[in-house]
Amino acid sequence: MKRAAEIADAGVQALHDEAQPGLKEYELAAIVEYRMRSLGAEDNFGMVVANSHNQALHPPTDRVVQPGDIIIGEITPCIGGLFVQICRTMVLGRPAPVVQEKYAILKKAMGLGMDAARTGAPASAIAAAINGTLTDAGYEKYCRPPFMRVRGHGLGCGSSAPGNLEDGNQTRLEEGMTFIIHPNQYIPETGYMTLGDTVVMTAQKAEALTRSSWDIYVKD
Amino acid sequence: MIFGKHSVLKRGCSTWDPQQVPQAEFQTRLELVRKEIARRDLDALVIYGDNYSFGDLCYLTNYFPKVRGGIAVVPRDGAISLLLNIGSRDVLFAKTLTWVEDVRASNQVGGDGAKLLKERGLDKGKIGLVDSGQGFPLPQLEEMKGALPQVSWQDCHSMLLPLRSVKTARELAAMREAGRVLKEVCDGAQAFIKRGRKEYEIVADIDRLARDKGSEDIRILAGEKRLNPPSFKQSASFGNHWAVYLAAQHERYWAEAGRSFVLSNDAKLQAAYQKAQEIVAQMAAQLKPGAAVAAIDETARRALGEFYATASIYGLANGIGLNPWEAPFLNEDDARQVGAPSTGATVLNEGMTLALRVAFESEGKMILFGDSYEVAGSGARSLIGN
Repeated sequence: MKRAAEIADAGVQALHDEAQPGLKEYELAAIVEYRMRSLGAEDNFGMVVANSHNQALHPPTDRVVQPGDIIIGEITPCIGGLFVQICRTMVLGRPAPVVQEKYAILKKAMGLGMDAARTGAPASAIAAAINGTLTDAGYEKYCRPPFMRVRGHGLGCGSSAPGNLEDGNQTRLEEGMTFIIHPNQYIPETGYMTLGDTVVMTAQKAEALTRSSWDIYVKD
Repeated sequence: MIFGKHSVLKRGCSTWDPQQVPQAEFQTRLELVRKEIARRDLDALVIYGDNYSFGDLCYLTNYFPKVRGGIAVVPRDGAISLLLNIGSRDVLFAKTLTWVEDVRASNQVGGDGAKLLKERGLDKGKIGLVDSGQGFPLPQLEEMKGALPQVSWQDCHSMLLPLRSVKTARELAAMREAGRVLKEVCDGAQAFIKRGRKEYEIVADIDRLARDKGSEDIRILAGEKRLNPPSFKQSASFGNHWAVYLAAQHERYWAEAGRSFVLSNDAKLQAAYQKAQEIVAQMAAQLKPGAAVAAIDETARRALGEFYATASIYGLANGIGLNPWEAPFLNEDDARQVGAPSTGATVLNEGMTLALRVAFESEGKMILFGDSYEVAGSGARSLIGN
């Protein structure tokens, strides 16, 4: 899984390096796929979409990427049958101030979600931390489908323990569990934005396996 | 039977081009299906599809499940509905892929399918179940049936297969487009196959080429001695010989090809590859309207001789269209391997589309050649433009 995490970070880097206006959405997805397969990834549960206002993540279309587009990605390479996921957001060109302002909420939610991921705590604690941050920012009514799905889920061989990070999941976080924490969220002013890292539980807390910067990547 | 590795998510270009396959085409299909519903005295059909076996669902709705499955509810009259195992946030995107207006999300397709049928007044009717890929998860199917005790269910798994076997002009155009894309991939692949490169690096190049050309899905199997799916274990450096199976899906329709790259001047390997191409050409010569499907197998058996048994393991021929392996099959074993209910047609008709392939070993190396064909009035026509 550490190897898969390195490959996931490389996929994000490839998008940063090669994304540009004029490409089609499916070419963006192919950029990520190619970099990861070139490093040995066997499969990828991956979605990369681009728009000035994304409604949700979905498989890529033939839409032509425009300057100013927000590119969001959920990238999930597989090595030896084990999946690792990373979620990131980038912008082609200088983003409007509202994009940075709202993305900062996601970053804060991510940090608090990581802090809540303590060994022995229930999985729901992570969801509560993330939902609480968004609620405090005034987005309580968006903390439910269709504006988001779950705040994370198990990873590895499929999507098992600890299950979905959502209210009501009382599964205790145990050392060795691997899952993603992702406060991916539709925000009415900006559209859907993504941020997430795969973590492994240590004896005390969650440690990220994926390492790309949490900041929005701005490509001028 | 050749099986490309099935990915967890279909993540190539996902669109519906209504210029290529317009809504009128689906209305015609719906009329044909409704005639069959009436002939069987049914009140409705429930058609299941998932990302592994979606041909029946896609034939009628154009929708192609990307991860988990779903059902189309097709009443004898009135609008049809799609109930898909997707998140509610995914409904908007799902609607871009289908002409069906009533698209619903559910993570309990069985239970919610029963509610939908009740809502449509079909909870006491005779309903045909179409699931030619046998993919409807049993607990969900049992839940749906259990919630509708007064429904009389009829197995209609093969019902759409005869309708799908002869392609319309628009379908053939869509398949030729898939074939055109695949030809460009086959031609472009040559540039990537160089001595010393890791096999998975070459596969990554071919995969990207296909994706950059708008492929919805791509299957690649390759190797020197046997056909392997992409894997980090394919770390062997490419030497002098590589066989590659390629199947590409473009706007729902598949085309398939097999090629062997003999970089050395080994005369025996080159002769073996030439022989494989000739045998496929002989098989293709059997693709005439009115000819027996069995003639393909008989031709291959005569031409391959001692290599017939090996070649049969990979499958010599099958129908291709919305599914890379569909009727007609040469035998029941082939059909059973992909969960198809039968071998399908035993006589070829104009408009059928088939993939032919020959795979055997020579000098310890895999030799593979294959192509996709249309049964035209004048005989076989390659869909890949060969």
